Amino acid sequence: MSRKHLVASLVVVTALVGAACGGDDDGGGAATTAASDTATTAAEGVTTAGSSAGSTPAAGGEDVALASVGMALPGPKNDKGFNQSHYDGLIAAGEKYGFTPNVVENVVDPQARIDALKNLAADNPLVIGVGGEYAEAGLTAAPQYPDVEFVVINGETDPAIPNLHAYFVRQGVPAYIAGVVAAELTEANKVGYLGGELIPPTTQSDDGFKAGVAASNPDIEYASTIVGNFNDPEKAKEAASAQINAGADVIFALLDAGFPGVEQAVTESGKDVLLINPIFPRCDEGENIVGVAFLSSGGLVDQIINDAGSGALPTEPQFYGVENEEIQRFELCEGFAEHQALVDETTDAINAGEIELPEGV
Amino acid sequence: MGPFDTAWLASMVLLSVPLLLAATGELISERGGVLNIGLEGMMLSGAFFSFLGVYLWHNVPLGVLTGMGAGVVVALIMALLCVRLRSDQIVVGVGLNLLALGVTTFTFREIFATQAEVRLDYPQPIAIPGLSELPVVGRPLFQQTLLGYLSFVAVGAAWFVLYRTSFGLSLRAAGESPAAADTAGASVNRIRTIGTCVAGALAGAAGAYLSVGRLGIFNEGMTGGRGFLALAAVIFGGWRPLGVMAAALVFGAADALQLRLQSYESIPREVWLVMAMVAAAALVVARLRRGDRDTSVAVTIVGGAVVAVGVALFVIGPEWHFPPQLWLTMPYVLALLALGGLVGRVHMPSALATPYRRGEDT
Amino acid sequence: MNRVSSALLAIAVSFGSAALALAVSYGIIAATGGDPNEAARALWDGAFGSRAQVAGTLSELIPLVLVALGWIVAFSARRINIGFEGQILVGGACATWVALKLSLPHPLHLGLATAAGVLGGAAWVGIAAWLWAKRSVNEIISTLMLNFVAIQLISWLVRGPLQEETRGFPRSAAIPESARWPKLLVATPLAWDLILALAMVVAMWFLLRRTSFGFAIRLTGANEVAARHAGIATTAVTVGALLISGGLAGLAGASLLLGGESTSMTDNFSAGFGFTGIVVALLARGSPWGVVPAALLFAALRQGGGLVEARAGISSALVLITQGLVIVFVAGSQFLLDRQRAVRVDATTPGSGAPLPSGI
Repeated sequence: MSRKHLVASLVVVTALVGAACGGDDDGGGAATTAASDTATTAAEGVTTAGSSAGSTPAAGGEDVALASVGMALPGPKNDKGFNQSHYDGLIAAGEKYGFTPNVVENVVDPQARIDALKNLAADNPLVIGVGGEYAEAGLTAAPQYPDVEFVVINGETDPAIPNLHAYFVRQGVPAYIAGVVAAELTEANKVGYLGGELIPPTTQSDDGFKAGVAASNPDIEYASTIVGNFNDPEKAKEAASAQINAGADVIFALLDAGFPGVEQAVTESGKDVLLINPIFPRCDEGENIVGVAFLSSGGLVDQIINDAGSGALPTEPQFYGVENEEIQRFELCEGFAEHQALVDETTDAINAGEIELPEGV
Repeated sequence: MGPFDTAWLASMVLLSVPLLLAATGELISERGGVLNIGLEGMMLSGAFFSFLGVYLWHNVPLGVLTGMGAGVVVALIMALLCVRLRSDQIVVGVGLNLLALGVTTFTFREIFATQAEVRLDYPQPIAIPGLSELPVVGRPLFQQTLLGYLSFVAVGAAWFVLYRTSFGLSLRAAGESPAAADTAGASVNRIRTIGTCVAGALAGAAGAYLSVGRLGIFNEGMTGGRGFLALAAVIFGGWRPLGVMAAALVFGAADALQLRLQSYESIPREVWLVMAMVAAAALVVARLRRGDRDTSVAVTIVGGAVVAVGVALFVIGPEWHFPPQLWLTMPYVLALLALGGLVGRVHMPSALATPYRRGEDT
Repeated sequence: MNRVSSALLAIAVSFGSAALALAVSYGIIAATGGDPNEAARALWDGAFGSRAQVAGTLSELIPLVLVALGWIVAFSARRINIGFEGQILVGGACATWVALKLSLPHPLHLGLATAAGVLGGAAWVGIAAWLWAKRSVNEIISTLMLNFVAIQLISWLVRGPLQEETRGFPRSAAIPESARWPKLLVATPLAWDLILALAMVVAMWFLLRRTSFGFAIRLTGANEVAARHAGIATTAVTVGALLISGGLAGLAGASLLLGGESTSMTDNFSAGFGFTGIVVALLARGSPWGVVPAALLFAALRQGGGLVEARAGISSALVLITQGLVIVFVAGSQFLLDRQRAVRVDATTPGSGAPLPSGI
């Protein structure tokens, strides 16, 4: 039995290696995942891996239409939060500019994320990695596909990798404005923050919210709870209940699919608790929704596509606070419109550099 | 008393219910000898299909039954493969978890993706008159939804079935010594299949509680590891119904506590006091039980040390802050300590996770 | 049936069941409006379509092979270690610690980090082994629980003691080149640890079949009472088998971090290999040689699956279903081989308590 297996495995491995070396054509005439036959260094050895559908990858300065764009999400595309907003943005941009979107979602481990970017790069001239989870993946994958443009949202760049770009959304900034508004609204002088997983957007918005509250009124008590999961409504509900029970009457919840749990906790408590959420406006979900630390991933994706199409992808990471309101801003729901002046004032102050935000926000 | 207030108790019970349901079912299954790594998949199936049921028929009990049915279906697959065909229980369990996640996610998207976020009405708690007015414990314990009450009833039912029925006797025999049970005339495979299905049904109910019993929404993968927590609860509970109930409540208590503790700058003194009290109580229980001399001495020393440390910390009140990971890992560490015999003796069913085969093929 | 034809039957059944699972997925894709042929092509391309893809597949082979070997060694002593995920994580963490905290020249640094990985994995399973030896705790349960503890441990490490200086991301500092495996094929995840993994196949075969310790392990596993009467220290032998098993998983963890494409340690770098490796061992029917083609199948499915989503637009849920089906069909089909084996005289002693689980 053992010898047979040995022979079989050797045969299989030999056949496979032979197949790989023998030719680069795949079975179906679809886009090739070509890698050069000669194993040379990364920059030289990999030949063009562009889409075979007829478009040329964006070269510097040309106004080129993209035939397709790839996007890799760390989570599910229907979480009504971070992932979905980028997904929706891509689909909308695809309809507007006429390219095919190719999306990979729920990529949970580091090697798979690197593979996801590489797989997308094989067929798409522009690949967008969504989230800091893809930062490292971008650094690894981009050099292997030098003719493909890589954009990582909240990622890192490296001067030695010209085709890797980063757009950094500083989610703590609109959270700061939210904090200022919350300080204004709280009657119990107690506010709370609910976060999902311990990743940078969570810490940034936590710090930003806290700073905004403290800047307005240092006597307000602040509590922060990390639920551990963006998409667990039961945990979210319990965490929110705990904060409401401790007296918080304004809560900022950065939870994607877990947010309804928070809403229910408020309803069940019977108390007058106001909620603020990021990314997607949820004003129609209840009268106690104050506003949204709006992140228009659609706007951001649109910006990225435009930049890619005109060859203007930035070499340094591009940061977005609230200076470009198409991309990030704090938006109040109708019922709270009387605080608009405060929001505008704070936004302007931040943009003018008058407000010192905590480090990392 | 610091973080230990009525709201914390209420939260503890609410968080414990899905664990209790799933763990009770798993207890039955494991006493018969079948280890359900696929418990998580059964729970998730229950969560989704009960959601679908309520969506279609606008009736929560019917939806819960649908969820339980889905759990039973997964359990039947498990039983067919592992009990009847003697496949490896671990591997099949892992495969079923993946399948359940894939199927529920896929079906959810096929049916609901194009609609706005679907939210269903969920049942309101029913207060037991009189009892629910008790101070402190009244609201947490006696103001539950029907499914919440049923989870405690399930524990009692499990106890009754295990220790007062002939089926229970055969089940326990099948888990300890299937060959002897077989000789005595019991059909080991049939018993184990039933046990697995009970686990599936109750896990399905647990999942249903999560989705339609408490929230009225479904998210992909919403069980988030609770199935494995239930497995730990069975272990920590020493494979006994009351133990499992206590374990589920302890896990729920710890979870409710850690959510609250995050808001404090450092761990409040009351926590140390409670720790000392719990250790003292456990010590008393352990001493009352029969045990061999060496273990008794070890347990007394360790227990006494914990009590002393707890009291000291209460008095000193140091500025400590535990990382959340420590809390999240606690249930599993407790299970390991229980296994190691440091929290009293536990006895695992001897034939757990071992398929039964007669001298020749059945 | 002689050994050769029974081996061929085993291969046929195992791979056949995987093929059946793929066929079912094919059907699901077709039934829900996708293009199954494009998906199939993408699956193949993703696994073997180019040199880079083959390299990726082969690099995924490494942890699968190592974990499967670990399963086989433990199982030879009749112990079921399902804590590979945790052992991979802890092994990897130890390797990372050595890689980051020590400054040494290249081959030495790599060797030390790898050794730390092995020791870390062995130590982690050692907890379960100790519980088994001293407290008769069933190792299935204890190793399972230890997985979850390990997950939280790594989560804490990458956000605390081992976190990179900028404190911006939950990951360790970049692992220095001096501690990394040189690449077998540049710009791919494939590094020289592939050779080490294959060497482990030979080593484990040799250990189990050609050394007296290996014989002691197998005898203990087949009939513990007889082994004790033959003078074998069965407890020590079993603990040894478990430690080797954990060490192999720790090696897989070290390999993932020192040989793969990731530059640092992050959450979840074990990526489920700890469980898929068990399925590989099952598919290999307990033979170290069989581990290689079996691991190749699963590595190909994993690697190819990524491209199926990217290129053919098949949802990740369907990829999950496919993986689940493969596992369930492969595990479920083993009875076909047991049936045929049951006719042969086995080493099972009647009445020795729980009979041998299937899959040996």
